Amino acid sequence: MNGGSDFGFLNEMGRAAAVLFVLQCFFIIPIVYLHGYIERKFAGDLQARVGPNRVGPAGALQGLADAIKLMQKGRPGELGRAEVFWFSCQIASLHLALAALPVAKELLLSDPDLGILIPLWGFAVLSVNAMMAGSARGRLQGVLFSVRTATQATLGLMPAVFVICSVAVHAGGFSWQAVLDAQGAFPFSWSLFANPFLFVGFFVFIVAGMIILSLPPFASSWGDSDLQRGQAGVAGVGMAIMAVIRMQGRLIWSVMVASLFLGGWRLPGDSHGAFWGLQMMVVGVKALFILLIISVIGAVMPRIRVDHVNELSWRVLGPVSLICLIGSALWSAGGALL
Amino acid sequence: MNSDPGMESDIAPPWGVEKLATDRSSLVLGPYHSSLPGLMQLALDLDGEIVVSARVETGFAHRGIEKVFENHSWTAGIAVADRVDPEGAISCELAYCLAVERLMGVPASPRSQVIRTMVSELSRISSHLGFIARLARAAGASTLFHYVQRDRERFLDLFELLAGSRFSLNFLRFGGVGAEVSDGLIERILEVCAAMKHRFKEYNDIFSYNHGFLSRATGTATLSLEAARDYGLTGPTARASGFGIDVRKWSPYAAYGAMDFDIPMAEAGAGDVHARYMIRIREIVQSMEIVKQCADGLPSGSSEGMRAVKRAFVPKGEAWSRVESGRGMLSCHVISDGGERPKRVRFRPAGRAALDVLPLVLAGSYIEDLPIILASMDLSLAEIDR
Repeated sequence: MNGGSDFGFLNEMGRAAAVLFVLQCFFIIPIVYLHGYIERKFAGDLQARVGPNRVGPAGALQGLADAIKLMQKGRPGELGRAEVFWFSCQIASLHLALAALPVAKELLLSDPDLGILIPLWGFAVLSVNAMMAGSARGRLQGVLFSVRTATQATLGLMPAVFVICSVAVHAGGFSWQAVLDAQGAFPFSWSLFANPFLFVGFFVFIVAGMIILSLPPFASSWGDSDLQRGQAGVAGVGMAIMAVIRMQGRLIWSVMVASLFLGGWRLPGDSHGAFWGLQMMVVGVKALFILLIISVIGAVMPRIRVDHVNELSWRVLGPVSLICLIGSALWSAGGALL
Repeated sequence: MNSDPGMESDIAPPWGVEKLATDRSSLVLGPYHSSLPGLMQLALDLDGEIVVSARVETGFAHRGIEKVFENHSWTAGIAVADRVDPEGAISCELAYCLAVERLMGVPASPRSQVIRTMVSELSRISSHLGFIARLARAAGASTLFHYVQRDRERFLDLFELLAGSRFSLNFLRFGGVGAEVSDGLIERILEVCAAMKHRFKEYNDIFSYNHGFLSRATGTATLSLEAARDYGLTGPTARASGFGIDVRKWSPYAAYGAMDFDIPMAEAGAGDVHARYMIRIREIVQSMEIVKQCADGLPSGSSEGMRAVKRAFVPKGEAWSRVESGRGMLSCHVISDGGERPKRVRFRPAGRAALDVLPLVLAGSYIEDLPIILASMDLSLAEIDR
């Protein structure tokens, strides 16, 4: 681990646990909660309805009320062994992604030479686990859910990897440190505007993320009609766990977008030495912005069928991301020669 | 999941070298399921995600409505008719009243004929908006769903102003209507219709011509003109397949004979989910035009009819009537033995044919499209099971 800080009395495992605790308590949970609230209010406004307005001031405690309600639903121990196992794997894979997530310099547990690909690995594991959890339900709906999840994730990962490579080619390295060093605090110095190929790649990456995570309008496996939200047989605590895992996955993807394209934690001046809380706040605001864009797209668009999603990944996003990679490489090579 | 290893797929591989044998699986949905339009059971045979065959079972929502008629007076039967199809209550009332009026030989006054026409068209608009809302929800377009529900509320508000309730109107009377229609209400109706015209741009922008919806709905669950005719389909679902049957033109009732309107019709060969959606959008526009004509030409006079008669006696005999409800042709057969209660009342709802054709429509479709296909058939299990 090369996070660069020295916590002294804590060993490596203890430090990792402390960082994950800080990330969960001061970054993930607050932003997930805040996003859930803003999304519901915003979607309510967009859809000519009120949105949360009863629990707490301006409905701010609605998420808490929902969580308590879900916890009370269902019988204790209703989850099967297989589901408990796969849920545990999902949580573990998300924390694997968290370990290589550039929220703040001090909180980056692992940043090897291929560090920017580690969260992707976490998402791949997440998708496999969702697939296995679906199959474990022993119902046709679960099988269809798992197959759709797996195909979407597989086909969505390909353009995502190409776009990440495009950014890495521009930055000159596959570590988060290299990617963030290549960017500045202000928009004109972000990778987003570094060249036209990365500008296109930014949108490809967002759409690919939505496909991998099965977010609306690409939520064919989680559609609430034919498969009953893909969670037939899972209710109460299990449903709450699945919802939290999905929300966390969405946030992790948004942090990746913010770091790859929007300057990440960079602040004016010597941001690498800035207080980690400030860096975390900057990344959080950018991630929240991305999350809200994703939410608006999901609220407005009708759901797209799984074969159309796969076609989009394979025939559109794949070739476009490959062009982005080649174009970005040529652009960087041209810049270096000039 | 049930599978039959001995059953091979009918789908032959295009390369023709080796037949890929995949097991079929069966999936039973219902009677309670979020993708179903009501209480019904749908047993599907699947080849992967493709529906090979479907079997429909109904009867779960049977309430013995037709038997209830026999236990109530002729006048109370109007309120019972509301329950046949709550979404198209006025059409059921009208079919029943027309049949009874035919038996009694009591024609409705010109003013009440126009009011009946106007309320029928408002009911059609409300029913079609309900259809759009259900289709939007099935397609995952939550924003349009809320927009349409908002607009439909305006029409339900009109019903409340008119009859005091939003669904079970109990508005018609033999030979007339149950309440006078004031000038203020007419003005309000025209306002709501004028505001509604501006909403279609919103609908079209976010849904009708959205690429995602078009790619799902175009060519999906196509119903040919021949199939629509053979299965006896009527209403907008039939007209979306190019089968142009409409009781309002074919056998005019109420004041439809005096109205100037066209029946929107899809081109032959359409008949898919998108055509069934678009035909209803066009019908809403046409209905608003009819409402405007009714408002402009509302004659003076009485619309009371037999409003004050609590116990009507209907001469012995039988009569039959038909009207064009929001879902298609709705007919009502009434038999009287000369007493103060009907001997038999029978409805023939439009949804029955739509339900019968369902296995044909579903075969070959993706299971993921099941919700939008079911929503596009505009089934009302309330009127089918009665």
